[in-house]
Amino acid sequence: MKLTNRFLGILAEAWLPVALIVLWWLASAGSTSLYFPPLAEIVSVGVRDITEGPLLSYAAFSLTNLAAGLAIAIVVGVVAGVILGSSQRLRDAVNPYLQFIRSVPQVALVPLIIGALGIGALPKIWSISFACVWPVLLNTIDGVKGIDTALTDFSKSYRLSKRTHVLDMVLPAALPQIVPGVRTALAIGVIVMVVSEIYGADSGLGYYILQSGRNFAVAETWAGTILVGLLGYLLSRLFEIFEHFALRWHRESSAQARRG
Amino acid sequence: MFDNRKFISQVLVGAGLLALWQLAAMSGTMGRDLLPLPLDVFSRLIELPFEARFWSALQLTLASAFLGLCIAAVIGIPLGLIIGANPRVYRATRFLVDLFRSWPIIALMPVLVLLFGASFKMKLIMVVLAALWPILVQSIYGARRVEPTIEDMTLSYGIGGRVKFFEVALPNALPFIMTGLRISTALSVLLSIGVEVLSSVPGIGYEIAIARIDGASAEVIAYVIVSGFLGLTLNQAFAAIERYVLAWHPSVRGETA
Repeated sequence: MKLTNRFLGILAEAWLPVALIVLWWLASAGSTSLYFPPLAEIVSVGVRDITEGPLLSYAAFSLTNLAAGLAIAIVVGVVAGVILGSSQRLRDAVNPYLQFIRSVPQVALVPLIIGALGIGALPKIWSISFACVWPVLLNTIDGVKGIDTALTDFSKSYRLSKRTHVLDMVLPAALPQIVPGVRTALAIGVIVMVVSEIYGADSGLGYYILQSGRNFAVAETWAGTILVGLLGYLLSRLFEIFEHFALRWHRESSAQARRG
Repeated sequence: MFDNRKFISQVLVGAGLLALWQLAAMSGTMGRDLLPLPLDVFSRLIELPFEARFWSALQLTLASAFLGLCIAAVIGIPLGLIIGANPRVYRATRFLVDLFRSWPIIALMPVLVLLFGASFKMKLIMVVLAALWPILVQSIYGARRVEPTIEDMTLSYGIGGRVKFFEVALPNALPFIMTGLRISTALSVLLSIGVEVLSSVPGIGYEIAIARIDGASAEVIAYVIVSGFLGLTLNQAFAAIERYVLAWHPSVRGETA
């Protein structure tokens, strides 16, 4: 009985996506339009370029840049966020500048950074980390700012070292705010990753999409576009799973607090 | 009301940042290509408003962002409310909505350039495709969060059809819809400028891209600063609209429900 329920649940969610894919497959079969090649051809071209072609190494290039850029952004954002979050005066002093710089559409800087520093991996990593640092920073500030003063008093009365106070008290307490900031940063990072590769690159998924489009290899363009989309989806799902585990203690303790 | 010490500290930080910029630019370690002198940038910034080209770029970026946002809202809000109100439709579309909301839409640009050319229309379609999802997701979310008492009341009073949509479903979901609109406003500017940078569609992003190719780094930074002001202004304008539209809502009135 339980198994049939589960099956019905999956069916209720899966029928439409499956139907759409089948529809696309059938409608595009035998298509001679330059812009809408048969889905079968898109899939076979994609599989070919993943197994024999450059797609796998391109994807690795894109993803390492994203990971490196995001890692830098998280470290810088969290450290600066803890400092700014702990001092009202510091926060007041830098706030207008912070509000301004986070309003700059992150892709506007890509031409500058890549144009000046070249098309290699490093300028892309800078672009990504520069774009990703703001949501992490602002969320960390909010998280640290909102910490119960009882925590600070506790650390003071027990004479905890600054290090212990930050690592064991402040960071865990701010984590429920930091993690959503990282999630936003991830979404922005994927966009900047693609933009930076379309703007100027000799590798990466964005480069693959751009080049195939320029050569009118439209099945490749579609395959690359779909691959980037699936990667974006996969990354956000993986992050959701990570978030679920990283914040489990938080959910449990706040549920306990509600129960009293 | 006016906090003197706060203001002085802000001015000091600004002066410090400027001095740092000046020193970094003069030392030339980063290259003039990446970091022009602050004075060059500010003189460009003062000149820009006197150039017709600047206003037309600003207008084209704003037009695609605003129009795209409106189209996305007109499609996304009713669609989201319908999906959210019907559990069956919600379950059937959940995967698709999840898939597209995390799809980096900018990756579709080369395909759209093939289909529509590097045109305003292409840029507009890109903006709509990107701005649609946050609005849709939040509208669905809002429609699914109807309080049981409200649900019971509409049922027992036999409220349905248009009245239910405009008087119950829409106001109930409005705080969520506003959140979606706010996210989408930032996204639509981001996409407009991104498309302009990458294709040769005119606008602020295109000015940045050409200035870069010409090696005019002061012009690049001047336009980046303009784009920042654009983002900031839209943010603040949106916050004001949100306060106005949701003035009746407990979260804005500052009462606990």
